Parts: sequence; structure tokens; C-alpha cells
Amino acid sequence: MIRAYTIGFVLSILLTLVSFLLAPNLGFFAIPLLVAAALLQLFVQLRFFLHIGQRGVDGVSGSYTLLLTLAAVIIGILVGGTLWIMANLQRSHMHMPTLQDLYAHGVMAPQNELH
Amino acid sequence: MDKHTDHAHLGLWTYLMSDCVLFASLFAAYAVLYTATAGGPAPADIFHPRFVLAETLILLTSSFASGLAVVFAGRQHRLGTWVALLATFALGATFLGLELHEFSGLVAQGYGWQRSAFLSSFFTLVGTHGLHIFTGLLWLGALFLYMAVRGLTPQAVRRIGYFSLFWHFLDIIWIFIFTIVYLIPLL
Repeated sequence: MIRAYTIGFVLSILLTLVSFLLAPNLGFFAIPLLVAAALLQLFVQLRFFLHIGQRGVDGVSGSYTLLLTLAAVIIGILVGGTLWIMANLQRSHMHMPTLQDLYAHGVMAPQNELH
Repeated sequence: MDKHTDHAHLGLWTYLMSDCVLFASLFAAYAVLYTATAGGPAPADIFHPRFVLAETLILLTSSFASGLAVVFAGRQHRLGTWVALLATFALGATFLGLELHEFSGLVAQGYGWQRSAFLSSFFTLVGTHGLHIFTGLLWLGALFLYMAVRGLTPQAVRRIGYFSLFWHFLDIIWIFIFTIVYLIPLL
């Protein structure tokens, strides 16, 4: 058991240092590297600290896997959905014609506007 | 493991996963808002990467120490359990102290949560994590009292296991705070 914790600890330190030292020098690949290192550290800690997937060690049974999967799905929808919608909004906001554009193209005239 | 313990364990996991959803929404808010600085400071103006690296390594070591406490407690090794838990507490308290130092420095410069949407989402996300750490320290204090009075009973060993689960979970959340809040905006 001590061995598992030590492996997890050392790997986590290495991954933290990799993110910290390498990311600023990688330019375009920095974000993929940071995300990959964070996810890898997540799996390292789930495996070596929380003993997920090791039957018998901590009474890990099917219900925990189900809970983890459910949480992962909700988080995926929540975070992915938020970023998607907000990015979309920002894009359409940038392309939104102003009132002046509408007047200039005759789509609308100031005197016909409803107030 | 008896039925009661099994239920408690499942309940703790259910709580932790729902807490994950809470943090996920705060992360989503930060990801959307971190560029909304409203003429105030941007992430690169106020974050000190080395300071955050120190915080990260301290919390990681604290998480490791709580894992060792579980191993020692399982072996009925009294001294080892106490040393590991006291180390967990000391490192956790140091982490919280560093975080409060960062917060008070920002507020003193006029960069509090009311300054911009970026700072609001920053304080909410990192502050919520800090509040969890504070709660964990209280929990650990209660555990010390329990162990001092009753000794390393099977109940105490189980409770150390539950605490350690919570503590590892907070370190996992911090990996993402380190990456998403501090490192990515600094690129």
C-alpha cells in the first residue's frame, strides 16, 4: 500500500513539474499538453490514492464506477455545453449588425421603428 | 465491510461526485469569464506561478500524508498514524495560510471580487476550494479529539479512511485549479 501511495506521489510531482516547466515554452501545443498532464494526473491519483479499479482494496464495487461515470457525464455536458454556447453567443454577437447597418441597407428606417 | 459502513462509503462517494458537479460549474464560469477583466488586472498581472507551484506541492504532500495515515491506521501503528495526520494538518493549514495571503494581497491592492467578472469567478472558484480545505481541517481536528479519547478503534480507522478520501478529492480539484485557473491564462 505504501508503495502505491509513493508511486502516485512521485508521478503527481513529475506531472506537476512537467506542466509548470514545459508549458510556457511550447506555444501552440501548450494547452493540449496542460490538459493531457492534468487528466493524466487525475488518473494517477484515482488509481494510486483512491484505488479505483482495484477490487478488494477499498471495497470498490460496481456502484462507485456507476457514480463516477454519471458524474463524468454530467460534468462533460455542463462544462462542454457552457463553453459551446458561450463561444457561439460571442461569435454571433460579433457579427450582429448594428442599427446603423440596418438603416444603411434599407432593411429598416428610423421612422418605422416601433417605440 | 458491514452493510452500514458500505452505505456510509457509498454516501460519501455520492457527496463527492455532487461536489464535483458544483466545482465543474464554477470552472465553466471561470473559463467563460477569465477574459472579462473590465479594464482591471488580467491573470498575468496578478498571478505568481512559483507561489502557486509551492501551494500545489504542499497540498499534494498533504494528500500523500493522509494516504500514509490510512496505511498506518490499518496496521494499528499508533505513532505513524498520528505523525501522518499531524503532517496532513500542518501542510493543509500552510496551504490555507498561503491562499489567504494571496487573497488579502489582492484585496489590499483593490483587486477584490467586485473589481471584474474575472476576479469574481476567480474568488468564487478558488475560495470555494479553500472553504473545503478549511472544513477538512475542522474534520481533522474532530478526528484528533476522537483518537485522543478513544484510541485507534475500528471506528477511528474507518473515519481516517473517509477523511482521506475527502482530502484526496480536494487535491484532485486543485490539479484543475492549478492548470485552468493559473497556468492556461498565463500562456
